[in-house]
Amino acid sequence: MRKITDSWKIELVLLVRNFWTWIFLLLALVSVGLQFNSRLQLFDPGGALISTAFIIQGGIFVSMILGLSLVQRESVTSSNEMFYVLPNGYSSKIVGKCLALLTAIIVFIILSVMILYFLFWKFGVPYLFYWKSFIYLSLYWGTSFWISGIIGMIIGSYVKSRIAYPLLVFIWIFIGPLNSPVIKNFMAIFNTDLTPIGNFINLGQTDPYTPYDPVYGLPMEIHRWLQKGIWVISVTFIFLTITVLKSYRKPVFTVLILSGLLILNLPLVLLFNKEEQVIRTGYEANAVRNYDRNYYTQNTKPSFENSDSFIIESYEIDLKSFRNVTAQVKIKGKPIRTTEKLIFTLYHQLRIKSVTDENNVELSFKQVGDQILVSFPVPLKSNEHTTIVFNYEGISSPYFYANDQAVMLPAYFPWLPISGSYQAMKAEGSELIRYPLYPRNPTKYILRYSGPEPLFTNLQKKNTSVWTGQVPNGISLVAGMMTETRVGQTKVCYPVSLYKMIDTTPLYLKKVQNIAKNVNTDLNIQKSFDVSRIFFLSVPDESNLIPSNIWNLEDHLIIGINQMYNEGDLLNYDITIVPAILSSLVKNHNMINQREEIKSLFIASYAYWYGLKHNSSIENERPILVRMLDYYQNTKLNKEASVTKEILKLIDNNKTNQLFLQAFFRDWLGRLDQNHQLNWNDILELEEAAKSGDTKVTEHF
Amino acid sequence: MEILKLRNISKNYGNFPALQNVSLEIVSGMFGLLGPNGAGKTTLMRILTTLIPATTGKISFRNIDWGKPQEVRQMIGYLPQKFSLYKHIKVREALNHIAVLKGLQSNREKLVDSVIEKVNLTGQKDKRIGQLSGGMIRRVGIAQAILGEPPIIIVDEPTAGLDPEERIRFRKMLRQLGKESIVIISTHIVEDIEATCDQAAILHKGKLLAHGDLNSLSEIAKGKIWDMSVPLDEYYCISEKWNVISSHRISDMYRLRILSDTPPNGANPTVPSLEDGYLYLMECAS
Repeated sequence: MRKITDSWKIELVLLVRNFWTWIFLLLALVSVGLQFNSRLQLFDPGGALISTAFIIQGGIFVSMILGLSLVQRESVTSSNEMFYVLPNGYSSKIVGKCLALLTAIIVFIILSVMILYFLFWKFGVPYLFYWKSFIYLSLYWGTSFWISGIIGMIIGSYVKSRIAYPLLVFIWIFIGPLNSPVIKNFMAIFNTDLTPIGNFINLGQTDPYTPYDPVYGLPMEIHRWLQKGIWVISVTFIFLTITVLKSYRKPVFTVLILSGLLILNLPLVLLFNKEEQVIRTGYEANAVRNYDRNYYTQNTKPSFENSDSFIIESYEIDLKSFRNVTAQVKIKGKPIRTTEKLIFTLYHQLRIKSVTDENNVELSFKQVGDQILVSFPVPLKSNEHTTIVFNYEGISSPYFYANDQAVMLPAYFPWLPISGSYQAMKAEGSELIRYPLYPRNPTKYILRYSGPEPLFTNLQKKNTSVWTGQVPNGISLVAGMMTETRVGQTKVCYPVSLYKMIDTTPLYLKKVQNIAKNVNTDLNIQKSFDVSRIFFLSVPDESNLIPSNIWNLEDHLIIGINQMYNEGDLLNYDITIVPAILSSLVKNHNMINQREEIKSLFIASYAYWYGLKHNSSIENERPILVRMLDYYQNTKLNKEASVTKEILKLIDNNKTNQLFLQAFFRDWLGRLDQNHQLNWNDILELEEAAKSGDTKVTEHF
Repeated sequence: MEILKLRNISKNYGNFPALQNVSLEIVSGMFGLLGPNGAGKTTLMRILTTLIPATTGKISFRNIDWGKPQEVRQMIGYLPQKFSLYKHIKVREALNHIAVLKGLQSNREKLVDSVIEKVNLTGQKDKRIGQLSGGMIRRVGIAQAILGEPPIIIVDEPTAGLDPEERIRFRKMLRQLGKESIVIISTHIVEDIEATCDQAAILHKGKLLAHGDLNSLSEIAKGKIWDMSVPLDEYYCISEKWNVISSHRISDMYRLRILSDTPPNGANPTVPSLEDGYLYLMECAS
């Protein structure tokens, strides 16, 4: 032991006395500090860490060079043979070098953490980030630098010439975040998906360009720890084998070490291969930006014809969110009519394992895509109370995740089986539309949950793991980098990283309540806009044309945000509030069939009129309707452009005629709320009818 | 008397035989390994220091077999030909570190100071290695080799790169060491062996040509070495006809030493030196 500690000490003394150590350390810390600072100035503490992907790439290289120079130090000073001839000299020196490498990494991380903590303190970042960032740096910096250092040592043990350097550069390109653009080229050449390999060998984050997700937090799923674990064990054991072989020349030791490698790695490999939801933000097929869009582009229609024949009265849910989702959901309800088959909708990656009745008798079922067809041995009578138990497991959507790190399952996403046959989403152009897929009637819920804590939901908490309640439009669950506060009478659940945004929430709440009231009055919408419970969630945008970041679920609102909301006052950006509120008020079952561009035109037109009426347009800011017109004109979508132009003209010409425009928009909304899918000609006809005074006013929702 | 025994040591690098059936018995004192480049000296030294294993054969000392390198390393002090240490470390720190690696527990600091004194580096003990001259570094090398008083000290090319003054000092030091341990030096400089060793072995192309005390090795060339003086203008003519192994200019004459089975005209037989024996063996071998 003394030999090892003395070797360690000597290596440290050598590092400390080396001029270049201080130069490198200084440069590294300055660049780290500047990088942290640049993101924290934008009030993006998560981004401060995630944006260090390229620092990790640099750190990997420096660690490899450090490893190489540590192991070749004796060769350079012509003392390697002398140390080798000392009893246990070589092995003691090698262990000392490994400890020195580890010390250097730890010191660097501690200094970086100190800089980070100072900046966190300066920018008022919440305390949760202090701890999370330390874990993040341990995972992505600590283990990565260790692995790279050991790789440098392995190369240095065998390659004594200068070829070691190009070899290290070659390896370096592939084991860091830089590998994704390189691998993309290989994929193009070989026409094969190499992303799983690329991700596995990448010691940094999988996508260096990804913005920080305020709900999901820093990507630190178990999968990533296992990946690093396999790497750490593998390179350490390989290096150990080399050392023992060189030092003791006993093949039996090598066999023992390699057996140890297998024994330690085998469970990790098995665990690694177990199903887990890992949020991929790159270009791979299962990445957030690709998976659902590809799936719903190819799967546009439900597998079974819709038959809303079952009214769900209650859910009893046992939900476990660990590496994937496992759930047992007991549904009580009654059929509307006598039937022997019921259809439910459930997101397709949540695979049904069994369906049983209340007596635990297996029911036959068929799960195809997002639908489940359950067959009963005896027909269910109309209004007969029925219990169905679904057992399922799987990976949720990359947009609406649930794993060991975070949960974001909004009420409108079918993570619970709901009655009817629907697609969970609809891909339309580059947009991915979500439907209001929740029970349409007040439903009782009992939720027993185990997973990331704390959990926030629109149910009442009964004890540490049970929530209950009756809610009008489904339940939303969220856990992750979240916290809760009260703003007046409103309970607000928001990401910890949006610590600045929360200060602007009181004004926002006041605004939305006022605007929602005006919209309801203008359009005669009966749907309530309850702000007693709000979830600020990083749900993805649904439309490229209009702001649609609000989901009104009557007992709670889900407001889509991203980390940029923490900088400035994006929440109170007036131009987006009216369309967002209107889009939330018109998201209902009947409008599912309407085309998004027609709905968007309606929302943008109303928002335009609202801006004129309330004089709330922003100077130098073009209204959304005008921007839509520009877009259609620029993309030569002539029909769309001409209709939009006509609507714009109609509003401009009648802007003082409040009753006329009110009737016009109510008529339009009434037509949207029908099963008939409107097209551009229908809108033109509507406009013509309005001009000729032939509008129908209906009551909606 | 303790004997280091080498029995039929061979070493092959692939199909190339670097050493072939070398058997030696080395007793306490100074022992020289002599041979031209490629003779197998370095290979033999590396085998003796456990840096590489022999392909076949057996080496033993004090009932310890070279198949157990960790035990052998307890008995060996080694100074490689190219030796230095970390230039940012002070002499005393470096030697103390090596003493720890050698497992010296008690009186370590005293031992370190005593070897520093032995190699005459007391004035430099707090200097960094990078500040020392080549000769001083060589002395640090000897200091580390003798730390812990190992019974076998192996020194590869001991005087390579040293200036004449340092070389003389270094040889003296080695001579001292030979009183207490087996000191094996490997060199192609015959003078090093003559100045320091009691016994020597001559290697050529991996084969042991001869071994024994220096006199017996010199005697191998007895009756083959001739001495003659020639005018300057005859030197080139003579050197083309005979194997001149050394020449010294004395005023307007050359005094030549010639290796030959038959005496050249006007030459007198002379007492052969180790170099003569060595050169004679080399000529015979090739």
